[in-house]
Parts: sequence; C-alpha cells; structure tokens
Amino acid sequence: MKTCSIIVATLAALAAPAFGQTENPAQQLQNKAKEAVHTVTQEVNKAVNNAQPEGENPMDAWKKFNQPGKEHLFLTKNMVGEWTCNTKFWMAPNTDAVSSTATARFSPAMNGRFVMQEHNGEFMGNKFRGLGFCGYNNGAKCFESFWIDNESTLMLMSTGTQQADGSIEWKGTYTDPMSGEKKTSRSVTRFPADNTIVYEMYDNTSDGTEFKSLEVTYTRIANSKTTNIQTDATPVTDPHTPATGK
Amino acid sequence: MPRAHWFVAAAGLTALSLLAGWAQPEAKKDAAPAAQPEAQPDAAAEAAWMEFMTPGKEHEILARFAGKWACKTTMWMDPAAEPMVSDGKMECEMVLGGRYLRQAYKGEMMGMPFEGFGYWGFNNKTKKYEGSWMDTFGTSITNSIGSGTAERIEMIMEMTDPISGGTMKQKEVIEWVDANTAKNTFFMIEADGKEFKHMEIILTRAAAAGPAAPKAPKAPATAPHGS
Repeated sequence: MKTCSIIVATLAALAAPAFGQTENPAQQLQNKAKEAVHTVTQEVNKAVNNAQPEGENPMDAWKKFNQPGKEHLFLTKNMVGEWTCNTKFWMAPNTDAVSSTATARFSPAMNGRFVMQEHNGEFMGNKFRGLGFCGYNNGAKCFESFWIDNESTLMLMSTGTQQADGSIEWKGTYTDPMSGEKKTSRSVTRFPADNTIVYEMYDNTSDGTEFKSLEVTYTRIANSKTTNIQTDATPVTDPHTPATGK
Repeated sequence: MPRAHWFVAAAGLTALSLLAGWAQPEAKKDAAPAAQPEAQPDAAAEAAWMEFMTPGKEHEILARFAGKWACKTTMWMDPAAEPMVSDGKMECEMVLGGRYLRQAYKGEMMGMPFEGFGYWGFNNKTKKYEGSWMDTFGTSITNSIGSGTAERIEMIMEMTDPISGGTMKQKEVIEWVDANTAKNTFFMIEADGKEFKHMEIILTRAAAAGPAAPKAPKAPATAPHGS
C-alpha cells in the first residue's frame, strides 16, 4: 500500500514533463522535480500515518504489548529478593534526618510483568506497612508504579522514565490529603550497585524550593526463591498470591 | 514515609511532631524534634489526617467482596458476535488494615489461561473509589476512579491501547444482586462516547466460604498487612 502510493506519485510526477509547455526546459524540470518531491513527501507521510492500523496485525501488536522485555528483566534482576532498608527522612531543607529501619521483599508478579514490594517498617512506634508495584508498559513505553500503605487511604500512581545511568525518575499527580489541592510528586529509584537500591523522594517548600524529603537505602540480603520470572504464578507463602484456581 | 511526606507537602508542619502527636500523645514534648522547637503538633491537622487514614463505610462496602467467588465470564468481541463464555475464580481480601480490597482472578480469556489482580480503595479526601489492575494479558497498570452507592459502584478505567499505545476508556459497573451474588459489567467507551458492553462477570460466593455471609465484615482480623 505504502510502496504503491509512492510509485504512483513518482510516476505521476515524472510523467508530467511530457505535457510541458514552452518554458525553459531546465526551469521546467526543476519545477517538476520540486513538485515530485512534495508529492512523494505527502504520500510517504500519509503512508506512515496509516502504517499502524493498516500494517500491523492486532495480534502481533498485542503480543508486543504483552511480552515482558528488557525493562522487565531489569526490574526483576535489580529488585527481586529480600532487603533491609535504612530510611532517612527530612522535614525541611537543611535539617537533621530522622532515621529508621525496615525490611522489604520484592517478588515478581504476573509472570515477570510486574514487581511487587512488601514493605514492613515502623514509624514513631507504629507498624508501617506498604505495598508497591512497578512495571514497564510496552504500549505507552514508560515505567508505571503505584503505592498503597496503612497510613492513608490514597493510591499513589506514577509513571517513570529511565535515565542513562539506569535510574528511574517517577512523576505522579495526587490530591493533597490535607488541602485537597492537586499536586505532583517526584521521586527517583537509583541502582548504584548490584545489591543496592536507593529510593529518593522530593518535596517542595512553600516557596517552591525542591528538597529531598526521603531516602531509603535498600541492601539485598538474599535473592528470593522466586527470582525465576516464569515461576511466580504459584508461590505459596505470599498472602497476596493470586487465587490458586484450577 | 508517604504519610510523613504528605504532612510536609500539605501543611508545612513537621511530620514528626504530627506523627508523634498522634501516635504517642503522652510523649508529645519529648518526641517533638529538638531542632525545630517552634514546630508544635497541630490538633486540627492530626484530626484531618486521622479522618483521611481511617477506613470508613465505603471500605466496609468493599469488604463485602472479601472471600472466594466462582465467576461466569461472558465476553463480546463485537456486539453482533456470539459471546465467549468461560469460568473463573476470584479471591478477595482486605489488606493494609481494611483499607484496600485485593482481588485476584484466575480463569481464561479467548481460550488462553488468564490471571490478574488488582486493588480497590476509597480515598477519604477525594471521596472517590480508586483502583489498579494488572494481569497476564498486558504490561500496563490500569488505573480507575469512580463513585457509587452500597449497591452499585461505577468506575472509569484508563487503559493502554495495545495497538496505538494511546489510552482507551472503559467503564466498569459493580452491582450487588444479593448478599452472595455480584455482577461486574465492562463497557468500552468509544471515541464518540458510545458504549459497547464487552464483558460481564457474574460472581457467586463460593460454597466453601461457608454459609451465606450476609453483612459486610469489618476489616477482617486476618488482613495480613493490618496495622
């Protein structure tokens, strides 16, 4: 289809000089060439714009969308396992950090398409429990995540882009639980070494100056038994395991 | 962490003192950070946070789904075509202290094994139900938002179109037929706003779950991530 259009357009353009008038032949040729380029460009653009719905079999498109790829392997390799966490929290710029510790388990979900974090910590004497999920959307071509925990009733959704050093920068919007205003969140997951993840969350002061409000340093203490991304469908120990069915 | 984060973002107050004020009222003074002696717990902010984080009646509505379900799934690829019918199982539980309903579905779709799981919650601030869904048929996390009553919840899902990579909208309607029967209906929303019903799931509470579970249990004591 695309090739056909180009050929038709080119032929039309080349045929045109045959009907030429008495102008300077060189000038005529130049004009016709310009016209041909213009026509062909238009045809190519049309073909390109139409290429996806016409050219790609929906089943192939779906397979591409569904098939875990290198980004999923990246998440699985760098995250799955048992971790200890050192958390530092800053309430304002240039203040001392408040530190605490936690543990986390990252396990694969849905045959390697997503990674689930179960976070167990403590904050001011209270148990802090969080669940986080991340994946890579092959269709939208971005990382995606969401987070829920036992200290709020909110779901925090973010999308992420990967930087040259492998780190993922997350951005999301949420409704401020206190003011009700729409706000944006920014955080970064860094992978400085094989068994280290650093998660940083940023915030803004009332005058709009950004500062780091949270830093969680994860140290991997063990690879999970479920690191094989093909075998996660039937874990037995995880209370969040999907229904065993069948 | 996020809670503390919100505090900073929201109120410009010190999260630590707020948390301390809430968690250890008798130790407020000691817990307030020495570095910021001017920061005092704000009773109004504490109360607002408590209201925000405490599960309410909408979470009890979600908790009615806790348990095991047998599912009859009917799917239409085209309004004129014969539907595809399949059986599935759904297992639901409240997690994180009764704040979120985790759903896990296992069955088949278009003749292939299908598995998926997601969470529904209710945001006490925005007064909206919120949801997230992941499954073995895609690499996207689908978010949804909606509202409803004790008998009917309507959610709008933003999905990734596998072909264009753009977004498509779908409407999910969750209805209670009786205490042990629920119906989830899914409509694709076309670009022109027209709706096309493409899936219906009839959920029947599995007999193994015991006798008819009439009223919503509160956040089950078994919630593994409860506080």
